[in-house]
Amino acid sequence: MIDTHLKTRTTRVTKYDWELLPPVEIDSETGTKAILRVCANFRHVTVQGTEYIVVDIRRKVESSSSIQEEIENGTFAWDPNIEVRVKARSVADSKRLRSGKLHSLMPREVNLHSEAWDGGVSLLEYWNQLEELYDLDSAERLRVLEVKVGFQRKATRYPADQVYRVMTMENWSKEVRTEVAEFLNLQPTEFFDFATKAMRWFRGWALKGSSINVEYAQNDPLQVFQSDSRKVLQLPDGRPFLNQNFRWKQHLSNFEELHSRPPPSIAAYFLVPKGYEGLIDQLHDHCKAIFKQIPGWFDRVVIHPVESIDTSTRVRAEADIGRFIESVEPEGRQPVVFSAILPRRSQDEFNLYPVLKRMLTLKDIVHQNFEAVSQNSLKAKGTDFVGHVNVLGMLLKCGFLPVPYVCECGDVDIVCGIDIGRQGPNRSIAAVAVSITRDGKLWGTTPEGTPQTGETIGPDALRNILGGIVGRFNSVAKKSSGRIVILRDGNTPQHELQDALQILNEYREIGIDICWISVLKSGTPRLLKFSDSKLVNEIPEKGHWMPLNETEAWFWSTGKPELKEGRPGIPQGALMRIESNFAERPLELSECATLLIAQAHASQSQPWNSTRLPFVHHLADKMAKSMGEGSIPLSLKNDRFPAA
Amino acid sequence: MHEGHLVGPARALSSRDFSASVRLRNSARALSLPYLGFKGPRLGTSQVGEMMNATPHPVMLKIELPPGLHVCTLVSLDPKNRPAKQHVGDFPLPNNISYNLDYNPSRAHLLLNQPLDSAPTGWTIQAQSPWGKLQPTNQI
Repeated sequence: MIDTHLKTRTTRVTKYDWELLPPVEIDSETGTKAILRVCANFRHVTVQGTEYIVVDIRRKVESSSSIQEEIENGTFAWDPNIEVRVKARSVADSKRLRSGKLHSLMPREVNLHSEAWDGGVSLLEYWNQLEELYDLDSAERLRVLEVKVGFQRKATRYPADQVYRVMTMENWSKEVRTEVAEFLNLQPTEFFDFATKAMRWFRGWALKGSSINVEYAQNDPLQVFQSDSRKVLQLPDGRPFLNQNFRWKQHLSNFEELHSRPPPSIAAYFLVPKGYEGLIDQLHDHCKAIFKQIPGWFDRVVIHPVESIDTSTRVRAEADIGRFIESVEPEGRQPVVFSAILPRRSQDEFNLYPVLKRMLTLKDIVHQNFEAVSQNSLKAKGTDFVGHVNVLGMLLKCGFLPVPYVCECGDVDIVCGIDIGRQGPNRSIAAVAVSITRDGKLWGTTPEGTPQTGETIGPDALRNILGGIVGRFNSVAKKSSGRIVILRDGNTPQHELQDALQILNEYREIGIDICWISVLKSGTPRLLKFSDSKLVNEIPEKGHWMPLNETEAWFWSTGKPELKEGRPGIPQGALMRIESNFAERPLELSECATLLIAQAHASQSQPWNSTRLPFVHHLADKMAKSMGEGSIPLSLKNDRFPAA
Repeated sequence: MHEGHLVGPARALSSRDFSASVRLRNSARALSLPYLGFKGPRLGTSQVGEMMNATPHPVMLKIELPPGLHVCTLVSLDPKNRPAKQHVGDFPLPNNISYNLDYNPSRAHLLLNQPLDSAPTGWTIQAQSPWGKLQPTNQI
């Protein structure tokens, strides 16, 4: 109904997104062209029995050059390990773009003379059926892509000039960033201004003559609660983990006291592609900035001279990296390799980063890369601020939770985040679980030997993961019964839930009670402050949550006090759904929200990309993504988190 | 156990709040959208409220459908199990206010003014109830 009505008001962009402002085309110095779209997003929800439409504002950037044009000007790099979201034109309606994922770039031998589908007409005939789009020359010249559109299981062949790349933030050029800046970090008034414009489309909404009553929801007496993590999270010695501003980085200086041991002595190595040796001073700055964050750590760092690798071909690079790894003699220290790699610019280059990361990780060598922008310059400078951000990752890579914390909420022994790495189009999928005990012991688990083949976790993999978690819990906590909360990233599909419930029942019989919660990142409305139904231009405080029904709630873990003004911006929440509660002393929704919010606050460390997700969920997400990209192995053999 | 507390009227207006609200009122970004015809606050500069007693609220619209609506889910009886979109071509749906099709399983969800007495040819009724009684979960 919503869709039918909105079609009369504006243009659809994707399933939930509708065009709010006219699209803007942006030319970049690099030759790429992009289209910026500002969209309104609508979702129907039921809150405590009343119906609402969630209204959100999104900006989307897509390439305005087709993939064929990008191939021709050398700006398109096809990597089957990296998911590429695309828009593909329809034969029937050239104005309509359908969302999809690039499945493959067909070999050059395949062109428009090839079959559009097995046993079907040629692509040339198919695309020329309504108008003469292609001649014989272009039929031979154009590349062919396979695209999975919408929920189609089979990929469809498209001429490459009918397919456009959706650009993620990493792909944005300087010019795109400048243009998009206007729509990023909006003030509450600015955001609400856009949202109000979108809400206006529902004016005069009627169903077969009967009008639908539409009102602003801020007039409704909805119950929004607040949970204060400062009272929930503690250090192991009972002192508060968070200060009044929700900061915890101050505890890093007490590292030895909190961990009962110092961080490991380090053997620092430096690896750059041939010709990039000029970056060594900047890499030294980063090394120093990282290890200086913890008192006395830098004094126990041995610096090795820079080594260079031949990156002309992948085989040469792998050979050089292999030789380098053989030469590493850490003498009881933890080897750490600092590298500087230029991002891959064209299709012909291979991607050095995952190759290097994987080879080093397999040998238990910690890897810290810095993106090079030229032979003489790194993207980030080795400042104290950057060092502070990177030391947290460095500690996790070395197997330390940067600051151990205690979270006693809900009498939960372990909180565990489970995620599935969505790989490239033709690859299997990695599942990973990251667990933390109530007193801050952290470890990862993977279903070794059971690679995933779909978007769900199969029963065998689930048994392997839960077995690994429970086994480790038994040895860490030295007890055989306990309460485990599983946070499943995204919606838990019904068949996976059925498998999970069966397995959960079996565990309950042996004293392990498991609560299964789905955490959905999209679809939750923004939170703003209103006074007497009028908007207040102030970000709400961290830690609000709102029940939707007996088992579901929205929670907003970000907000004031911001880590830096405007960062993170207007709270963007997530949905939690209790799929299966504890059999004994079930978690109340308030406990569940408090637990998730506290775990999220334990991971909010720096202003730029602080997550709104619980710590283990966030870490599982990072690990699964890296496993999916092939930059770290599919099995975790220790408590280190190389993707941190 | 940690229970959340209801966010309510907060605190007295401090001088800091006052200066902030003055800044807001003077803001060059003051809104200038026209009144939209909704029940609710008029949109314009008066939209920007004072900080005193401000409470957080999600950004959404409340909707109220006309009374007496029914939702009916039909399942295709196509022996070849073709997608619902094709099945509808041979076995049309009854008159409805709005409908939605599921690809797999092949189903149609209808919004009706009154419940169906019997299943239309080519379909079987899976579920039927007044709107609001059979709500989907908030699967987003």
